[in-house]
Amino acid sequence: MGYAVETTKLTKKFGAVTAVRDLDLRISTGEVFGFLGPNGSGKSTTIKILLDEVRATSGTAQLLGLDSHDDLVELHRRIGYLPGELRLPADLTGGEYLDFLAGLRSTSDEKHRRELLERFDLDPTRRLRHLSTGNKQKVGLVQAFMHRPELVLLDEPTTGLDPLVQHDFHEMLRAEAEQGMTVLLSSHALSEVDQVADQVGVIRRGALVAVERVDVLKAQARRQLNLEFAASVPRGVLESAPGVYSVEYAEKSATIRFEGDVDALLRTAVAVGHLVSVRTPEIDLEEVFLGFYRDAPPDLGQTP
Amino acid sequence: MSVTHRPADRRSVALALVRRMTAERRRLISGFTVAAAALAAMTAALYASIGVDYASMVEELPAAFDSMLGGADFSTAAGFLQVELFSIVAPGLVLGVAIAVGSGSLAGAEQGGRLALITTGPVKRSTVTGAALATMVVAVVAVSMGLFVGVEIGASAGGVDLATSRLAAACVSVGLFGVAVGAISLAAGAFSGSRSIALASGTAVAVGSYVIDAFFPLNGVLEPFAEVSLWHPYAANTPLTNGLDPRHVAIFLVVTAAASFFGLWGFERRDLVG
Repeated sequence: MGYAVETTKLTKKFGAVTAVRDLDLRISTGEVFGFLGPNGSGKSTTIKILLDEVRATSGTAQLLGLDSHDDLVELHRRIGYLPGELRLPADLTGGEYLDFLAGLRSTSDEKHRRELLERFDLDPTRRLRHLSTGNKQKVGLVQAFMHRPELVLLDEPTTGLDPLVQHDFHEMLRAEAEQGMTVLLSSHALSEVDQVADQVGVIRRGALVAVERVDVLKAQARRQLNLEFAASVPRGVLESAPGVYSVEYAEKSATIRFEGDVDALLRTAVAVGHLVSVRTPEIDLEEVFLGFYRDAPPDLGQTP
Repeated sequence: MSVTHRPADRRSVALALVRRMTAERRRLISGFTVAAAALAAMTAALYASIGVDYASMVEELPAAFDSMLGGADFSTAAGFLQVELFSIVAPGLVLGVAIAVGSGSLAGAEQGGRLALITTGPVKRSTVTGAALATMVVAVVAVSMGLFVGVEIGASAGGVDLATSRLAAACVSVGLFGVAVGAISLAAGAFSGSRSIALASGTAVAVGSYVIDAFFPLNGVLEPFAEVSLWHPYAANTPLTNGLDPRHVAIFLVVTAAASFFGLWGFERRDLVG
């Protein structure tokens, strides 16, 4: 299986500021790739380079086997895109705007568009100026998928959507990926990426610091253990267990964050006192994500 | 999974873009057009009632005013309309709409984020720039036609005898001037991505060239430089009397072509902001 997105040493500098540095990104066909990073980390700039909106200072980008600049027209016909800040013409209805965009793409799949409108419960006869933020975002989603693209680039796609619509959208993403569509999902909503992504790339200040499958990334996380004791817990003992790097105490309980083997930690806990219960909260990507940022070297400056 | 895509038809894409860009500015364009038609009709009708009296009054004005008015003959309808309509009002309206649409259809739309789903579609940037230029031309043609129709109506109502071909020449002349200035404004926006810069550039060219053409001839040292003004090829001839001057037409076409070229190049070479 080939790569739907492949960049080599992609770099973008805005004057003295490096927004994207030496980005080597490979996304396999049919994969949902979660592109994680906080505001200003270079996610949107990377997507704009892939779309040739922003020109790379150096490096190359190939999408669907085509050059992102030289083969722009052919490539963009096969791509769907939702910008992070969606601006729609106020004077049109949703349907008129979708007609306009379909005309630019020389594509017409009325049936699929109707299905999308029904799925998102969107009235195409309403003027865009009268739509709520969430409904405008739905128009953006419909236009990104209505021509059945082979690759979609989504920049913060669930902004303004209510949880039910988000859930439905995530289901749709998974279904499309199973049909072979490749998805690049940029987000700082970690729970979103956690739910739909096969693989996650974490970008920090323009550099890709990790690309891992979601399950592998979770396994790397510092885990958490909540211990409840029959009596108050003596301070200082649990910290001595191997792998423990923080302990928060309550009156008769302790929340421990640790890495590695749990065996030694539990033996220490049993030695501390009468252990009533042990709970292990589900690991989410937020822990992993924050871990990457906690470890950020201080000399790297924030990028726009 | 993917649908079959028809080959891209660049012309139909460009037409769709022009329709959209024009529709987004339809209030502005129709407002300028109606204003041009109304002012033109009133001016033409005015000549029928006060034309001769006005001519004798203007003869008493100092030389500075004569320079600004282009030394026109007020005893004829053509001379009266040249001064009262085509010296300031008509170019003001045409240049105004050209600068507003030229700056708004590309840089304004880009800054407002409305180009993002167009330029990320299967559309070359040159097609987008070309469509914006065409939209500006549509706006200029609409206002120029408003002037033509307005004068025709006013002249008919007041019984003023005016050659239609000469009136058409005057409207084409002011239209060509407007397209040239609009193209400069659009090119500045294409280069910078800033509507403010586009507006300022077009306005500076319009006002600056008027000042140079009107006031430099009053000073012996500055007089030779008056011809560098873009207003000069517009004001140096009176199409209502003499028809179009091919040299002046050529100047406007060359300026428009050069500005369009730089606009296309400028938009192609840079990062988009929207």
